[in-house]
Amino acid sequence: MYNLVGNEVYKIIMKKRLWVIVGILLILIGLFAYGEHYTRERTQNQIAERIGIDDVEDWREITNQQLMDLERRLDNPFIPEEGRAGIRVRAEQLRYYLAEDINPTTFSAAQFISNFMEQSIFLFLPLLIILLASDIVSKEATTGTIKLLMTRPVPRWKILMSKLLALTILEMIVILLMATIALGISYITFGIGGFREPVITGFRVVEGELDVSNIQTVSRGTYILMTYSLGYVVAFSIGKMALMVSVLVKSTAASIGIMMSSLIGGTFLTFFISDWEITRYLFNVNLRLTDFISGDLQPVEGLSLGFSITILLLWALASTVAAFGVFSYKDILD
Amino acid sequence: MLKTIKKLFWPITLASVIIAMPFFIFGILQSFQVTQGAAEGDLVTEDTGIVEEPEEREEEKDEGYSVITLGDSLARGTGDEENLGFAGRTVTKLEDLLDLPVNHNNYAVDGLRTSEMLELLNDQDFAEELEKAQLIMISIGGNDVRSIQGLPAGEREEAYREIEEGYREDLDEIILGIREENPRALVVFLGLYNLDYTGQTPEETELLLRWNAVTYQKIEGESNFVWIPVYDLFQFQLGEMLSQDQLHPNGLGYEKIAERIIEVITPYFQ
Repeated sequence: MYNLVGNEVYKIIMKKRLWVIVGILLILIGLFAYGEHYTRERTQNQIAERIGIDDVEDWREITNQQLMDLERRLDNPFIPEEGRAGIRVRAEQLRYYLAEDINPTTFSAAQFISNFMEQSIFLFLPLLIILLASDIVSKEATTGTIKLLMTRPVPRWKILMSKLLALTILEMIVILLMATIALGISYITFGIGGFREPVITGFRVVEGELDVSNIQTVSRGTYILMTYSLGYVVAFSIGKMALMVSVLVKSTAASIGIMMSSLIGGTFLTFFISDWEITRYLFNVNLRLTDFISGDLQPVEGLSLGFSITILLLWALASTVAAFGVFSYKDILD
Repeated sequence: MLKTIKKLFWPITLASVIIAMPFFIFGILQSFQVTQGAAEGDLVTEDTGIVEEPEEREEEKDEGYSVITLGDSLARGTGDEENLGFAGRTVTKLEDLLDLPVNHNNYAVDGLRTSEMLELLNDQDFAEELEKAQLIMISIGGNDVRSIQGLPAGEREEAYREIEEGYREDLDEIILGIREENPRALVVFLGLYNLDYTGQTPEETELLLRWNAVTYQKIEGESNFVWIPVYDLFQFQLGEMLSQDQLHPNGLGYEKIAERIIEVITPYFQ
């Protein structure tokens, strides 16, 4: 089994699909980084123009004033306890900026890395995984090598199992590649590390409203770990679905097409019928896992991290069962 | 050579995945911990190396003059470059005037409306604070009137009348509430001066003056309550006295308001 999986990993790496993904990542992350850099600079200039500050060094003064303001509010007995938690973490953030001499309006490499995952988890990452996984079985069918595989003295389920394990491993490699490339490029572009910067998290959606009573901070490094781990959950389940489609369909193009259209189509669907209860069981709705930790409100109410991950894993499980079922019994013709 | 490199693909891949695995597991567990929340209500903060400075609460001195400020962003001092507001500036002047240390507590909240302030005043925890105060400065009502701005012109009159009705009742209760806890304190109540971010229509000016008249009538009926008009201060130099947001006064604006307050209350102390 070890050798079988190794063989499959080797095949995927040699197929150059992975290198296409690396190429896409390099180009896109480069573009994103440039874009972020450009917008940041522009807003900074706009802010400076509006408040009439030419010297960028003045950020200390502004930050100090904001901090004073927040501390004064904490002294105010009229602010309810839920509101206080929010003020306290904001103040903690500002204190960090002052202590570490970081201008909060500039952008750090660490910030870019976590933003990149937050932005790509629901579309870009799944697309990469589809690219990686969609031809994993169908290509053998297209090229006819599947017949060679089948003549080996290995049971069919073992063949598929080795493909599945290889895919699971390479999904993680894609995530690691994303992190590494993002780290490299953003370090060149933004320079500042910022991995210890406190990030505000711990939001919950209770009855359709943002509940901030559990608000807390984690360091940016931990936050990055969290976002990329959640990214892996998405990669894992999308990969299994793509594998199933790849078993069902003989042509790689059709396999990619089916996965892409269900990914994008499903996302559209949630916009139109977000109040329909059943949409929350679609995998598309549950892809935005990082929103739960970043505090962005969900398009569909009643979702939680646990629920979304469960739904994604159920989709993965159902896809795997279907893939094995079909692969073990299907006739290999022509 | 190439073959050995190719052979290495698999072990390297497997090794990196095995190394990365604990991090991913940690990340997912951490995400759950964060979204589910640890102990209810208490603030979990990871140590980021920054020690929270001990809160510098001014020591409550028994001697000295005790002042509290209530109300909206104006009372809080939004827009003031020096972050003092009319309240802070008045207190500085008051210290000179009385030659006494002044304890000032500012309880103003941005965007506060009259009904909300009434709610806060009725809070039990606040009674003690109110009882101690010798001077109470209030700026409230601006956010009430401003709420009609989004309405179409035809509905404004009607909406205004409703708000004014509620304001009258709330104001009565505020006066009553303060006097219940503290029958002696001097209460300074600020008038309104401006409603709109972008210049005022004559219709809005009329409403503003009506509002001020209502406040004036109510306030002046009480002993040791004084209503301070500020509309005229801004009349010919609105531009110079507003901050960047075109709504709140700037330092100069607050200074003028503070000067007027001092001017009005000076005889009270003599």
